Amino acid sequence: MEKTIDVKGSILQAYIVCKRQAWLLSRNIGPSPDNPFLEIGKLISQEYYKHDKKEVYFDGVVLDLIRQENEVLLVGEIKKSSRAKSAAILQLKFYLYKLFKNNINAHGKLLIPEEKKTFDVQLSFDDITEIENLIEEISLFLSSPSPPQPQKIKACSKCSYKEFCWA
Amino acid sequence: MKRPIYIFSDGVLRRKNNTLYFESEGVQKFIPVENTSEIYIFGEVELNKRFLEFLTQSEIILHFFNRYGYYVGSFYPREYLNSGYMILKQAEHYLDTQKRLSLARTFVEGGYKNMRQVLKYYQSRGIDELERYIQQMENLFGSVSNINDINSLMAIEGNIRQTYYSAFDLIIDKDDFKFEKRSKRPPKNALNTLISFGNSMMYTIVLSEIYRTHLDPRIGYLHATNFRRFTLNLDVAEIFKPIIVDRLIFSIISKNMLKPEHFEQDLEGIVIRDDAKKLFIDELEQRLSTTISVKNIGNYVSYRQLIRIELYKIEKHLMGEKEYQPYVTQW
Ligand code: SF4
Repeated sequence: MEKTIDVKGSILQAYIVCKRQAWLLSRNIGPSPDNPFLEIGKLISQEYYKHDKKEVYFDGVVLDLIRQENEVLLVGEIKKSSRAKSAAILQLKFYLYKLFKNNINAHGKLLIPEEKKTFDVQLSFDDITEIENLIEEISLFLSSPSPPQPQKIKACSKCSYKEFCWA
Repeated sequence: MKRPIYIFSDGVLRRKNNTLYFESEGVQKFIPVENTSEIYIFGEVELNKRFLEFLTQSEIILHFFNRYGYYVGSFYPREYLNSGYMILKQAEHYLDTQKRLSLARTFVEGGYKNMRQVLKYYQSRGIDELERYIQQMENLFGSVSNINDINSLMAIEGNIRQTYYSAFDLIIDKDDFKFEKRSKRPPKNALNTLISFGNSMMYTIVLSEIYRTHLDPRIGYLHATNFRRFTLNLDVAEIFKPIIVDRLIFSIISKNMLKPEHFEQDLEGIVIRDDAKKLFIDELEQRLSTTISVKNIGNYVSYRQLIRIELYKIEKHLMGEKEYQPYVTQW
């Protein structure tokens, strides 16, 4: 590899669910644009939280929404269901980590408006080591010239890469 | 579901707030942008840059046809699914002669097999004379694996298609729709006009699907790339022309949906009237949304999705994941 691949939040999250997906994302092979689940995701973040600042780009990551709450920056990540909750929390922690690296202290909130649920997320020192190890593992994995073959897993049925993987 | 919009009348296309807006002879029409996948323009339409910018933002392609129904060109908005990786792979398979040939052969193979299936189908319905044509096509195809340059490959493909077309008179058997011989630009009779129109539609449909993938339509394999023209869609259309366009032509002619009055003699050749274009497009849209079952994907997919899946298969071939096997119809 001439250049190490920048691990983005979305890649990190994908990596937890399906490594193949992470590899495809890293090559900018985005999912099929007319997948209904993607549309729903977009609609949800447009529909709710109208008054917050949305889709903020920061150091290679896209923050779903940010809000100033009692002097602390609150970073929200919006999901349509709690299906992939642990991956979503990790993604959020990754954002907090990125902010932390830039000397910004922030709190995280995972928001699932459809289920009326929120989860507070904080970054601990253990998280920092965990994330740094994971980033290293992921960049190593992504340096492979081709993705792993698709494996039928539970996530496939609702995955926007479905047609691509099984074509 | 997003749908294509077809515009036959003359008028003005504009952006109005966040919708597309068409005004024709004082009649105003709003076209919701979120339901539109692509726009086909057959009439004389005026539009401006603001409108094109809006299309780019909304990821909508515009296809232009002249008043004879010949394809003029497309407004292909900036790609929104850019993958440098995929473009490099595409170029790699273009520059490496062996890799390019093997892909080009597959397109010829896919086209041939589907043409053959079409003839076989009519043979099974009792047109025995078709055997001769099938045999001849088989012989021609036999030499494809030994061919080592694109031009000869194109020539063989042309011969196979010529043989296939000359069997049309056996299938159609109507004096008003005699094939005689293939004539293009301008077509010399109604059937040739119909074929040209159908093929142009097929090229633009594939182009529209390519727009929704990571492939660059300017890098084709069988059809020579010169980086200024779309060619990959021509390659992929080879596979679908027989099973989508030709079958459709047979079906509308046999149902007497098209009459000689639908065609007019122009200075240069035979042209197809707007009502016939509309009829053809209606049937085409119906065919494209017809679903069939495809192994691997699991459930039923429409012909339009099938085209997209074909493109994904090509992407996977380029990535070295899975060797590309063209879609061949089962009946
Ligand atoms: S379809 Fe399955 S294998 Fe393919 S990216 Fe999605 S989850 Fe991974």
